[in-house]
Amino acid sequence: MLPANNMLNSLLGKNITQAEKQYNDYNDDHDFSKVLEFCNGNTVHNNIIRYSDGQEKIFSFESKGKEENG
Amino acid sequence: MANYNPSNTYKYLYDYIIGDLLSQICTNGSKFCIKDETTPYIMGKKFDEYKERASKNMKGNRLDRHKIASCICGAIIEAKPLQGFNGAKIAPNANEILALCVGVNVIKFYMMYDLLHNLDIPTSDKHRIREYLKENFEMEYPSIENNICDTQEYQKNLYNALYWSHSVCTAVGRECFKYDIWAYSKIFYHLEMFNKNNFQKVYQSYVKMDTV
Repeated sequence: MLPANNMLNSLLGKNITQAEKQYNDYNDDHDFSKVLEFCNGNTVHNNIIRYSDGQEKIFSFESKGKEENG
Repeated sequence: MANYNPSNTYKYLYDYIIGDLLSQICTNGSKFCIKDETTPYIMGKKFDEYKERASKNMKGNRLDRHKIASCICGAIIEAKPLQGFNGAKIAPNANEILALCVGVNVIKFYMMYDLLHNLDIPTSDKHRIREYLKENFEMEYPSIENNICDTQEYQKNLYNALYWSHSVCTAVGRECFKYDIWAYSKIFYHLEMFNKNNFQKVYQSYVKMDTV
């Protein structure tokens, strides 16, 4: 017989820890915006990207925001 | 893209990860390009939609890192930002290759944050470590030696799985297996686990270098 304790316990709903009972299908991870800001630091992004018409341009939402506000 | 206002999260995600990678691919002399300035918005719209859909199926409203990685991976696969420049032929799964790379870099950023944000050291030191890790730590995949029943590298299998799960259907109208946010988030989870030791090694190499 194949060992199948995990499967049987899962089917019977056994061995559920307190943490699992409280699990809401999300693990309260860090705020992604903060993670990105932290990891980026003060780096200025001048990413030059080629478009299908052959033009190479810098595109960033940061610079877009400045254009729109400026 | 009228009426679409990207979320701040997506704006950062584009500027700090996607744009960085695209600028390395879509350069003068390569055969890649993106269509135009609408492309970042198309990806953003898909990402924000995926994120919202995933959040609706949860009691909390903050997606964990693996689901976020999965959402942007799926969004890129759908948006297909990469094109062949001047009709150049590119790999059919080029966008899946980009999508996976963006996803694993999301995980990398979280791993860096986990390590650094609570570390009790001066901010300037944190900045130095962060820059070192950003430049020297690259997420890896299981090697072909660890791939016990296959003759192809793990990441190549994954590119193909991503490709067959969605891209073909839109191109030729065949059956769509549908991109699965939850299944791929588990793959990102395993990739994070797989990279933990290597991440620590790269961090330790910085510590050694710094103390010499």
